[in-house]
This record gives sequence, structure tokens and C-alpha cells, in this order.
Amino acid sequence: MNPNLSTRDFESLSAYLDGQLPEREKARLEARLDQDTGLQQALQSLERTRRTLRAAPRLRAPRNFTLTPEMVQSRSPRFLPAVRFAFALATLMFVLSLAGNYAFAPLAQPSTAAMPAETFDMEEAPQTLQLEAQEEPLAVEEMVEEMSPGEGEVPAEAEAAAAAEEPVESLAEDSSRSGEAMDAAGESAPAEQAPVEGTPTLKQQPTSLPEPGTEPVEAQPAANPWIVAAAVSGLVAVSTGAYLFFRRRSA
Amino acid sequence: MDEETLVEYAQEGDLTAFNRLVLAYQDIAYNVAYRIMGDHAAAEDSAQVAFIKAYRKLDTFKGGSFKVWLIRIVTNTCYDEIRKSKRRPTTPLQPLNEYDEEYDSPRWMTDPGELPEEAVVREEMSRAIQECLDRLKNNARTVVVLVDVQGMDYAEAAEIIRKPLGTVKSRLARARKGMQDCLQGYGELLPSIYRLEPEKS
Repeated sequence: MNPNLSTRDFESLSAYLDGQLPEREKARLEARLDQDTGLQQALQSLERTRRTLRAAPRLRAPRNFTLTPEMVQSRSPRFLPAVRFAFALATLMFVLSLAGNYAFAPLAQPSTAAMPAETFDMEEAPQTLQLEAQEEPLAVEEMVEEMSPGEGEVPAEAEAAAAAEEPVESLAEDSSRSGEAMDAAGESAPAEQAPVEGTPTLKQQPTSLPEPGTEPVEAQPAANPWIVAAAVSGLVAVSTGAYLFFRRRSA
Repeated sequence: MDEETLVEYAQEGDLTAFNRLVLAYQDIAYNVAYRIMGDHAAAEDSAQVAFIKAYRKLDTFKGGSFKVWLIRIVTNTCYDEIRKSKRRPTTPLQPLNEYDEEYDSPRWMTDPGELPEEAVVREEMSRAIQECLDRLKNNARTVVVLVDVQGMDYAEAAEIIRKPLGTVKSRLARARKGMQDCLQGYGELLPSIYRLEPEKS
């Protein structure tokens, strides 16, 4: 064997031996073989290698590999492609949900989530109550407009009871608003002056207002849709993935 | 019944027709598997698995050479088994019937008409060839097994490995070079006509 033989020359000799060299390359190689004894020896050595390999004993199969019905019945269940698809889809949804939660988290967060209970202290309580107190008369005003005659004075009493428990700043404003509400109620029912005592249902209205010194009732935070989607898709991905994994392992 | 008809019947679910194809190709399938795997038990398992896969994938056979299509499944199965064996140890696969008995009794692997000395020489040479084949990379080994050991032409080998003819040529040359270098180490163990160094006059 010629140690200086290049890989290209060896490929040419190998293909030449099998009659797989194109005519032009074949003629060129044969011209070189006529002059290069090293190339001739390489060709002879390669030919012996091929002869040795071709003389490798052909083994007979140690047994018949014929199939039985039992061997071919253990096919994959028909729903397996659906499970694989569900796994891929759930995994994709899980990743997208996490990405969506990360990208759109400020939009999806409920307002109460921005103010956790731990940050609430008593110094901020009056402001919070004031905001709520400002909103409350409007609700009362709407209620007064819908109220039947004879019940017009009841909101005033209710409002007064509520205002008594509220900060002083908001009291004056609320009183004027409740006065307006009373006027409106009076215009709607001038003939009848309502009795002083109101109906039990309206009496209950002020009780919904926060008491002094107590924390406002936190609204139930709405579930983040991204997290819900991630949880559901993650659950599906884990269950289908576990099925596929153990099925493949058992196979 | 010719091969094409057997394939058609097998594609319609006729297991008997498929088994006739198995009997026709089980020797070459086992030989290819053994030369690639280098182990009789592993080759047996791979050949069996390949035939099961072939039966299940019969609908993907769209004509052409059934032998080429089948040997492609055999070589791919061997690659899969080699990968698996690197990850975990394997246990021999023996098809058992409902009574836990083997379906088929083993056949003689040697030619009963062969003389003992010839058998020894052939066994030595087979072992030397296999040891050298084991040293090649998978892709080069497959090509030299298909072309030189099994006597297939370049086009068949290219179809089996799904590569162009040029790839077959280069891989074959590389494999032959590796085999030549390796077999030189066996020298006297090989019969004189197979010794690689030319005798000096």
C-alpha cells in the first residue's frame, strides 16, 4: 500500500475497482497506473481487501423470523396520535400562557392586587374611607330617585347615620348632597311627608359602610386568565406527557 | 406467487403472505444486522424487530425493490438498537407462544457439508472481518457491509441509506481503507489468497 496515496486517489481507485468511475476519470487513472507502480500496488491491495470482504461467510438466520398474529397485534392504540397532539398543543399553550402572563401582567392584574392587605395602615384609612364615602352618596341618590313616595326621608336618616361615622371633611359635602337628594325626593312626593322612621330594608343600608378603625373589606381578586390557562394547559401537558413516557418505557 | 403479489396480499393484512417474504429475506436481514451490530443475539433481536416494523409499515411501501425497502428498515433498526444499548442494557428478545416456548427451533449456522479445517479458517476470517468492521463508524460500516459483504450495487446502497451515489463512493472508499489497514494486522490468520500484502518474488 502506498502511504502517500491521497484520499481522492483512494476514492478513485475504489470506484475504478467497481467500474463506477466516469470515462474521463477512468482514462486518466489508467494512464497514471501505467506509470506509477505505487498506485498499481495500492490498487492490488485494495482489490484483495474487497475480495476478503466478499469472502466473508454468509450466515444463515439462526431461526425463522416469521411473525405470529400475537406479535403484530400489539399495535399502538388508535387514540395515540390524539394524545401526542394534545401533549404538543398543551405544551405550546403552557409556554404561551406563561409568556402572555409575563408580557401582559399589568393589564390582567385586578386593582385590589396592587394594594395588598399588608400595606394597609391606619394612617391611610381615612383617605380610603373618604373615597368610599364620596362614592356612597351617589348610590344613595340613585336609590332615592327610584324610591316610592313616602320613603323620601329615610335616605336622609340613613345618610345622616352614615355620615356620623365618616370623617368630618366628607360630612359637610355629603350632607349637602343628601339634602339635594331629599329635595329631589320631596319634589317627587310633595303631598306626603314621610314618617320619621324608615323601612327596615333601608335601615340596613348604612350598615354596609365600613366602621371607623376597621379595614375595608377586600374585593375578591379576579383570577388571572393567563395563570388559569397556564395551569390548565400545564396539567394536560403533564398528564399526557406522563402517559406517553411510561407507554414508551414499557414498550 | 411472485414477490409483488405477496407484497400486495401482505398489505391487505395477509400475514401468511408476509411470512413468505420473511422467509425469503431473513438470511440477508440477519447478515446485515449481524455485520452492523457485531453480535449474534443483538442481530437476532434487530432482525425480528425489523420484520415487525416492516409489517406495520407496509402501507408506506409504494413499490420498487422490496429488498431495498426492507434492508433500510433493518439498518435503521440496528442504529436504533445501538443507540438504545448505549443507554441501557438489553435483554434478548425471544418470541414465545402462549406456553412460553420458542416458536422456532434454531437452525444450524454452519454449512453441514463443510470440512472442519475449512470451517475453522472461515470462522477465523469471519471473526477478523467482524472485528475490523466494528472499528468503523456506523455510516461507513453500513456501506461496506451492503456493497462488499452483501454484494449490492452502489444504487441499491444509495437507496437504502438515502444518500447520493457520491456519498456511497466516498464512504465505501473510507471504509475499505479502514478495513485494509485493520486486516493487515491479521496477516497469517487470513488464507493466502486474502492476504493483503503482495507476496515478494
